[in-house]
Amino acid sequence: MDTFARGLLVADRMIRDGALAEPLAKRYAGWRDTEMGKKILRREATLPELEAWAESNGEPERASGRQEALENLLNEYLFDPRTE
Amino acid sequence: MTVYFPEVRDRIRYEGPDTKNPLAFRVYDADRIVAGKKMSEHLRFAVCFWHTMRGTGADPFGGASFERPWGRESDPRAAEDSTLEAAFEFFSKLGVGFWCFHDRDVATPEKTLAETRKHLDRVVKKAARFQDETGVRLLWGTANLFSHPRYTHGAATNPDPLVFAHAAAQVRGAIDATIELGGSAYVLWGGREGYSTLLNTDLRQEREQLASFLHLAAEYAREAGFRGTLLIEPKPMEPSKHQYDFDAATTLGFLREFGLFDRFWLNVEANHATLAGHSWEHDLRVASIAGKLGSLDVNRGDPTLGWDTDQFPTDLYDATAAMRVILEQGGLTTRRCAADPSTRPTSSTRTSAGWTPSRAGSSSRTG
Repeated sequence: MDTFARGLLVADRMIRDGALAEPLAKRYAGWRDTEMGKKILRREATLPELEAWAESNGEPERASGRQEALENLLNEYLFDPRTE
Repeated sequence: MTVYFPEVRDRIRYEGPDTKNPLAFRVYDADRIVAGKKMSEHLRFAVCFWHTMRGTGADPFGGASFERPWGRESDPRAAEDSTLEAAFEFFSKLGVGFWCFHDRDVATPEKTLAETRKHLDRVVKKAARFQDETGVRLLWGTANLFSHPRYTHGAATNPDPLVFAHAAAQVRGAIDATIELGGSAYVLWGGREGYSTLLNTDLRQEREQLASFLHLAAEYAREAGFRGTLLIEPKPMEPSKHQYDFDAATTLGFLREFGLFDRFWLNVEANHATLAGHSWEHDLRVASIAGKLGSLDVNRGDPTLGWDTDQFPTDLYDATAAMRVILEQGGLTTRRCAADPSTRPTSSTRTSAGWTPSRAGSSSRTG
């Protein structure tokens, strides 16, 4: 019961701080911020259209998933005495 | 009245992180407000009768090793009575609001179905009195469709329809008992609903049988006036090679395929998720995004052991991940919650408490 009480406190702080929500929103921003991203999810895009879009926009940027940074961030929350 | 837990005078209390008292909470402070609600509302712990009161310590290599001060009487009725009495003392002293049980945990079967049913009804009346006296409520009930030798080759998925009928009779009794005790949910855990070899198994037939069984249970619950949530607890294997409710994703697909999606929610156990090769967080999230996370069974496994050890959850990463899923979905809600907007995570643990929100409540373990 103490374990889940700790989990609750940590999860609550992380959510309030937007600790994971912000990086997550940033990571998927292309789906929200580009017309084509929204169009794909509305299932209105076609393969030829996507091919043309890919052609005109060139090679995608290589983005880090920042897994290790986020794992360390989680550790900071888990072992922050203020969560006690 | 016998006292089974004399170490605790009235109940276990919150004493904070500096206490040296082993029988005190360091963090769980029932009335502390977190994210707008009391901890006790976020964490609707339930203790499961199965492992907590009836666990014997037996494993495939040896027999019972636990020596408990209850259930030792040679007369099985007296043993049942003392176990029930000890259970409610335990629930009360631990300070959990809920308990959960299999039919066979509280009432041993008699020679005929009718006598078995009559005995279960008697025990349910006793349990109802304990509930009234202690204020501990039932999170969920379920039927043990795996311990009796008739279920060796499955209950609903048995090649013999007569076995299916016995299982159906048991589910009817357990649903009635759950209603009688005011349970928030009813759990279907397919302990032996799987196969060992396709050399002797008609996979298509057995899946159809399972779907029929779930439809029958859902229909009966509705007709009997059950207002709670129907839960399925996925598990990938053990003792069968392959179990039909393999994991959350498989179970959701099954429910959709057989027109059961609107009737059932999932009770996701940590150890069952890891047996399926997932993290618990994965299966919780899969259930949650489908709007189907109803309850948690918090028993965990051991990463170096390939079986269902059902240990107490002490991993803070797992607990944090689980709570993040629950907070982000706005608590554990069940169908019942539509009328009763409370969250109830349940779980249960092997020995003791789980928090299944009953929906998650807490939960406890079915198997």
